[in-house]
Amino acid sequence: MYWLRRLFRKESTEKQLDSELRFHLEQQVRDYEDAGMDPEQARRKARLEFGGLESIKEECRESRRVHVLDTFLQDVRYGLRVLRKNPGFTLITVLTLALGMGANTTMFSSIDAMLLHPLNFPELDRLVALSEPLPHSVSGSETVAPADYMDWTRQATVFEGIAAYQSWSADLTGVGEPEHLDGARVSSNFFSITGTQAGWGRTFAPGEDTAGHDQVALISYALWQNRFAADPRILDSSIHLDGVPYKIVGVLPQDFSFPPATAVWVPLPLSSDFVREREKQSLLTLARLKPSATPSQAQAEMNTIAAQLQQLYPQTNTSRRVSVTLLRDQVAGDFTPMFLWITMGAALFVLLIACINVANMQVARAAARQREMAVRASLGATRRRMLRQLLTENVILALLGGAAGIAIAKLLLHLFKIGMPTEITRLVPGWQALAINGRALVFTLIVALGTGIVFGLAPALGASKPDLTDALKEGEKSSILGARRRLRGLLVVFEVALALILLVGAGLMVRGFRNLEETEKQGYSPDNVLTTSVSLNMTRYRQDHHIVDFYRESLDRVRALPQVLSASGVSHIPATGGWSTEKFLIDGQPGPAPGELQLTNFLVAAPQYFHTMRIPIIQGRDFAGYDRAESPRVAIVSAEFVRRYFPNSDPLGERIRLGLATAQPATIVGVVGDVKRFMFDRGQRPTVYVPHSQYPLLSMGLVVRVSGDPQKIASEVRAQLLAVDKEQPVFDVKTMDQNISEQVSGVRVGALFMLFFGLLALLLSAVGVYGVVAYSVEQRTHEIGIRMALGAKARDILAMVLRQTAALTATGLGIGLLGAFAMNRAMVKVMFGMISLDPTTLAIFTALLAAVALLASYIPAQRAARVNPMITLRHE
Amino acid sequence: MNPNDPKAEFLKGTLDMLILKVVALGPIHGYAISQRIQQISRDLFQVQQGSLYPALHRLEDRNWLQAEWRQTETGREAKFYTLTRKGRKQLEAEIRNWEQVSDAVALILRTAE
Repeated sequence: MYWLRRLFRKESTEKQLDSELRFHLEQQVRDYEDAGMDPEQARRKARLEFGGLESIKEECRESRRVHVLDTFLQDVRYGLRVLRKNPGFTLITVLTLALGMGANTTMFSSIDAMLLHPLNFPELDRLVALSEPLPHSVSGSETVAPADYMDWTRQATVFEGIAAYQSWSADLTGVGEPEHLDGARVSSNFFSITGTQAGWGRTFAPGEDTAGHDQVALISYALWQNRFAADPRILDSSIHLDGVPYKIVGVLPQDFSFPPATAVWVPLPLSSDFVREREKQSLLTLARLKPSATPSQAQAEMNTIAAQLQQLYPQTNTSRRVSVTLLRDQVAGDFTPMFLWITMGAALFVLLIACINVANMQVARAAARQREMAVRASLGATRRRMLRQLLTENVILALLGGAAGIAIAKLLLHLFKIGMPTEITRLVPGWQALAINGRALVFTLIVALGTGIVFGLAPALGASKPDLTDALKEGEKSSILGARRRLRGLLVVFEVALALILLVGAGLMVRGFRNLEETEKQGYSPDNVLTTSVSLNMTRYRQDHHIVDFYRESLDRVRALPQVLSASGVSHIPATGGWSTEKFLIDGQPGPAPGELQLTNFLVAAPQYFHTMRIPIIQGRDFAGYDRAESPRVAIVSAEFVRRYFPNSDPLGERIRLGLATAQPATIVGVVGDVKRFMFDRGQRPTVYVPHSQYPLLSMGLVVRVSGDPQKIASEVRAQLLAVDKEQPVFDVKTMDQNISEQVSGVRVGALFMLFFGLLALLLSAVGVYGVVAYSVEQRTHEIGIRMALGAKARDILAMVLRQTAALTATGLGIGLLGAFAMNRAMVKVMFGMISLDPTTLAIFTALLAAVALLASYIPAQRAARVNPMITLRHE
Repeated sequence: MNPNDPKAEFLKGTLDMLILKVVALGPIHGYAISQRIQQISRDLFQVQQGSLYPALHRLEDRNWLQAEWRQTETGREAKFYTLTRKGRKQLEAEIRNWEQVSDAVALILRTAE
């Protein structure tokens, strides 16, 4: 700690250095005197030979290691003093940087929570998801056939284990009001592979996923708290799920929520029938890689296994592949990452513009500090020393900006959180952990240091190279001025270009969002529609006609309510995220090649569904009361189905077989308009509707069209359903508009963020243009004075300044347009091709930016026009 | 030392070694070091203060030299430098190195004749 001690003895070190050098000098003088010079001459000669005392001292200090820390503290003190003396400059700089860094910290925190650490499992990067994507997969079906899964667990060597799970739901009865719970069925190794311990009790033991041992359950911490009042006696007690008793063996930790929003976990019963199923894909899987294995090795091994299975089971596995994805990437989904990365890119642009602004201010200030620098240089400061001091000052500014940026990020994250409905966010992995954590702080610190160095370096390099004699005299050489003006001009060009790219991006995003909301494109009308879900309990509704009767009676009661125009049911309400597909064959048409699948969207609907949703019936008829279980099977197909399978013939009267080839054929009785399954669906899918009376499903969504506000009738609808069966939970009572708004909430927030960043960019670039023009006018006061003395009118000066700004802005806009086209290509991908660069958006933003830039330069231009040549020239 | 003097460049690289060598003779202050180098080299080398003092501080910082304040013969306080053990090793290493280089250079000059 020698150097530390020396740091504190700095005072005496300085004194010692001084005496040491003085001693040398005096000794020299004495020697000269001894040699016979007169004292005055000896002194002068010694002094001359000795050279600059201060610069020798500085070099001595430089040669000590402690110097770095020592001068650093000195620089910090000095920097703080300079910043305190210029409160206006400091405030604007810190605020500018804070906006830029706040935007980045916000986006970083979002990416960190939702993409990098969506699940808090230990060693998350060793967890992979194995899936069997369907050929021509619509949105990447991730499920796996059980028999394939069993083969993998026996053959794969790269994994510590493979777990299987599937989503499930059940009615919880016996404790208070019946409640519909989201659940999951999991293999017994599920928790050991994810690395999860029960918060209380135990997780599943090996063998509990076999039939006969599987009536055990784990519950979520939230369910335990809310439903069982955190009762410690819950362990080993029984609950009824769908009427079946399950023994609760454990409560999971509070932060465990996988699959997202799950309240209850039960074993996946790997019965012999189930594990022989090789056709129907129903399982999700996740596996933990052995420490030595990489995902690509796993992919290679799974390819080999898949090839073997293709040989063994050509009937089912011919076109089946296996894909190995990091679990982290699978749970993040397709859309979230694209949105987050695009918005992160926008935030970086904002930061870049902020940096350019600050660099600009620094260049202006560097000119003003020319004298200060010259004085310091003449007092013996080395160039390196001054550079370091300027950098220190900039890094202080950037750190202050970073600190303020964190406050801004906190605010933005708060807005983000309240802007997203919990109905959606409970399904977003990592959402709960969304906050400014240690990683975000480190990120901000790095960004702050980086920006401090970047925006500080250019002006600092220029400023610390003062031409002493020149700078000490008032005024500057015009060559330096010219170079600096060019640099600043370049910055403006760059800034305008960035701002335009960002604005166009924001515009595209907002337009995309509005497009999504334009529901005509969805194929139905959501206004004044109330939706709700019912899931009948299998143990109480054993017979098909019980199910059909429940729904018929419920709908009849709802239709009788005042204000209700019509009501119906469907297996999956559009825009709520669910859908199902089914294999089919058309009588008289060749089926698919072996191993190929011919799939259609498959929906079960009650009569009046199309009428209620305002889906046009193009041909034929709706389902009706006379389509009963025992009457001939009927089906309604969508326009896309007709386009694809009956391009040149009348589909009415044709017969299709859904599911197995031996299924009873259904006659097509109608053709309806296309409906998108969910908001972001690209293109149309062929769809087949069948009547609920002939395909009685336990779970149905109900849709009710009313003449007024659907929200008002919600409680009455619920009451009517409970009147039919008071033990039947009714859930998700919402308006169709709510469903849609929840679906697009991610895009909405993304669009809002982009818009915010875009406006920020606009504001910052306006400030930037203003600063540059104002500074250049100030610098050219003399020149302007001469021009006016030579006869230039105020108008000419105004035009001159504006012309120069216009040239810079136009160049910036030109470059920005090129960038915007590149950006468009990326956005089209994210926006599912729903929108692309349109001339209107482009023209509006280009004009807006040009107008703002000219406006920003108009104020200083006017100031220039008011220059009084007499005063200016006299001042010289 | 005139900066344009070719000897200046030459001296720069060996200044540390010369200082260590001079200090090795016994405790000595900065002024005496510069005088001593000048005398011994018969005025061939003149060490400027601008190089000497930073070098002394650098050597002290590396713990090759240690310094203490003592009285001179004339009764003035001055900073005297002495060689540390580390400094002695460094000096030996530099001398060895120097001899190798100068031998090699001498050999080349002789052989090339």
